[in-house]
Amino acid sequence: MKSDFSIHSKLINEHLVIETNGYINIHGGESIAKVASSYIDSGVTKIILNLANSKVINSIGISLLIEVIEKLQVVNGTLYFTNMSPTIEKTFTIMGLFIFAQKSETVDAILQQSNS
Amino acid sequence: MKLILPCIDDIELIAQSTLDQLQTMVGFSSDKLEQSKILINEAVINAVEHSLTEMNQIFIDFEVRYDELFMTIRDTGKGFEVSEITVPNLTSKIEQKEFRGWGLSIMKNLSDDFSIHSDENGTQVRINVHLID
Repeated sequence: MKSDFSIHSKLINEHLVIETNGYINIHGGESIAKVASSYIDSGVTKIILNLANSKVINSIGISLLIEVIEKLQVVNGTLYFTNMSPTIEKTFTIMGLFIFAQKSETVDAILQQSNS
Repeated sequence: MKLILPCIDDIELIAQSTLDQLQTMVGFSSDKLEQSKILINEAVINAVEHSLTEMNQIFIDFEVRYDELFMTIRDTGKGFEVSEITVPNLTSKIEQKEFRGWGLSIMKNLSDDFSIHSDENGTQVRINVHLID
């Protein structure tokens, strides 16, 4: 049994924006980490993860997001989470993710903040 | 509702699907559904990864009573010493590059009530979600 998961990424004003769709388990987490790593290796230091279409996650998927945070720390980069459901935001808060990552309501809010 | 599931990867999707059906029948909010799914994910994943059971099965009971959902997840593995499980710390985990080990912490803090019992006959987790805030 496999869950449906898809990912779409684009570079906007030096920010990698990753939009996810579906359950973020090990497979989803690996997809995100793979895309993020390739862009970090090519010099991108700001990554926005848009979770508008991902309402369910598990701790294995989150552990792969922590790997992205760790990789970004090495290059003084930042991971931003946007469009989180209340439950996902609470889960990340429980784990302490916002000590090392940023959150915002929308992708545009982060992009505007960077431009100002 | 009762489920008996094999200990295989992604089997938590069956439990998630059962919660979808329960939501349709009982009518609780999407927020509560998502909360319940994240909780059941952690319980099932822990059972699959750590139960080391010869029976290779997980037993799940879903019970809705008044405005509360009770989920009981049981395996027949060799169990573990609950008191030896430490509270995870993200700073330490990043320093040690050891990113796993969050399941119990998530279940304890995201649920409205949580209990765990583990001995040589297996582990049972009981999770309570208030369906109305």
